[in-house]
Amino acid sequence: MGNRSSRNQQQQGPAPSQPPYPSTILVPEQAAYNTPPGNPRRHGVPAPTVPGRVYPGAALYREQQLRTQAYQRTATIRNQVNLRKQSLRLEPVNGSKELLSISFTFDASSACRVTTFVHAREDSHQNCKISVQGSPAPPVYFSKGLGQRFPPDAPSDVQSQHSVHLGKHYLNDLCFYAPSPPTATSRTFPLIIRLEALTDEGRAEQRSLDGLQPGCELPHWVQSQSTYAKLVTEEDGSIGIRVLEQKIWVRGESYELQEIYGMDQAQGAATSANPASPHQTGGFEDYEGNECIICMSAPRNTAAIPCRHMSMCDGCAGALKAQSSKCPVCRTEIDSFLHIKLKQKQEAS
Amino acid sequence: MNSAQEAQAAQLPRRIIKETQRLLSEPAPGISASPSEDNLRYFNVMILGPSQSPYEGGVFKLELFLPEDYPMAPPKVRFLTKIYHPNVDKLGRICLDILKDKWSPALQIRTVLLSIQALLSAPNPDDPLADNVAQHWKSDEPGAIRTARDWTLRFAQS
Repeated sequence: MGNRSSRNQQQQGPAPSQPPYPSTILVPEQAAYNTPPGNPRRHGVPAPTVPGRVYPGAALYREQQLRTQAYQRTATIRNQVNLRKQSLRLEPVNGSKELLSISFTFDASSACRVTTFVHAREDSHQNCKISVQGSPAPPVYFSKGLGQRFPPDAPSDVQSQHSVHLGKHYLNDLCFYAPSPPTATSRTFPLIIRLEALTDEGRAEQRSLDGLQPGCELPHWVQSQSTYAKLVTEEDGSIGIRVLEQKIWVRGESYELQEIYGMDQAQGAATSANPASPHQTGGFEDYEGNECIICMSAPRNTAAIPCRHMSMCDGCAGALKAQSSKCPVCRTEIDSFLHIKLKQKQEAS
Repeated sequence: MNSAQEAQAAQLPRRIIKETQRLLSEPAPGISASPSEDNLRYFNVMILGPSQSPYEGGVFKLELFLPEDYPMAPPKVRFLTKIYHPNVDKLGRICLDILKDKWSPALQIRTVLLSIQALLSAPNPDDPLADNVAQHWKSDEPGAIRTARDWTLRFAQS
């Protein structure tokens, strides 16, 4: 438990053919300032579980209002299921214009199941219970595997069960999403896709996903990821889909997934450049496109919070802290820094 | 480089060495900056007056100095060539936000000089450093532009 070493992550991670994962940090679903004072429930970071690679550099953003620019290290937690945001599509079922099947690619490092909900309400005070009018579509079970497709090729009824029926809903309900204040206990989304897997604990206790109703309150022994989306009318008049946000549920807590800007570059440089022989320019290494914008020599590994720009190395972040409290990229006031360990970087530097 | 310069370069932060190399190898159009021989933190700068500005045809010399805490602190830049501009005073000091409170360590020598070049194209008399020039600009813009053009011909020829 609590293993933060990237080396271990690498050893225990899945096959090397693994696709690039989204770069994300996790932010507690309700930001600190919305939490009633004195509520100890969300304080502190849940102890990191087995290190995994689903989100390299994934971080738990502690829910503390950090008035001073705290310097945080990332705790890596394992997310077993991940819907690839970019892959989410709506595809006509048998050429129908009314019935659009929800399709996407996802990664699962253990057996999981997929549930989908159209025009659904989620209650954050009831462990993310999701309710829809009528009965939700039956869950679809998958074994572990990366790059799996939903819906599966066969049988075809899955396709129509997990679809958006334009004739059955007001288009407004499907296209319109008004972000409600985070304090709201329940929110209604045009579309929710939930991927669920058992935690190690759940497996040890011989729990099973079978007994859980789709959209039920999430128990501790389930780890899940939810993707929230809305429909849009594209320029050519076709119906498209946009992801609104993603959340994960880990050890009884819900966290919002947020991207870190500049992470893709950093990861690209980490994997493409051979760390044993960094580019030599003028006698020192050049992490092309990934150098800290302040010292221009060390690789970027520190993100400013809340703006999430990863533009600095940890050394310069420390120096910046002493001088200014603004992000070098956007000048947003920095609450805290997030130090992200990327593989190979340590070995390279 | 002689040995004294090499010794000096060894003391410089990598960032300054890198910036210098890039400035020399890929100069920005209309801008040249080269470090002084005896102080590698001191740059001799030349900016060509942008076309369609009253400074067109002029070559403006500036000095740029990187203080000890650069890039946490902004470079110090000053016009050496006399210029008639509402945001440049008699001593050549420049009124530009990024050289003061809007400085960010993400900015570089190159971006600073490009901003100064842009300031020549777009004088801002509402945020003046030279009050009389700014007043002139506001009350009689064509006249002020004529004076600026005249000064360019008189003082900014290489």
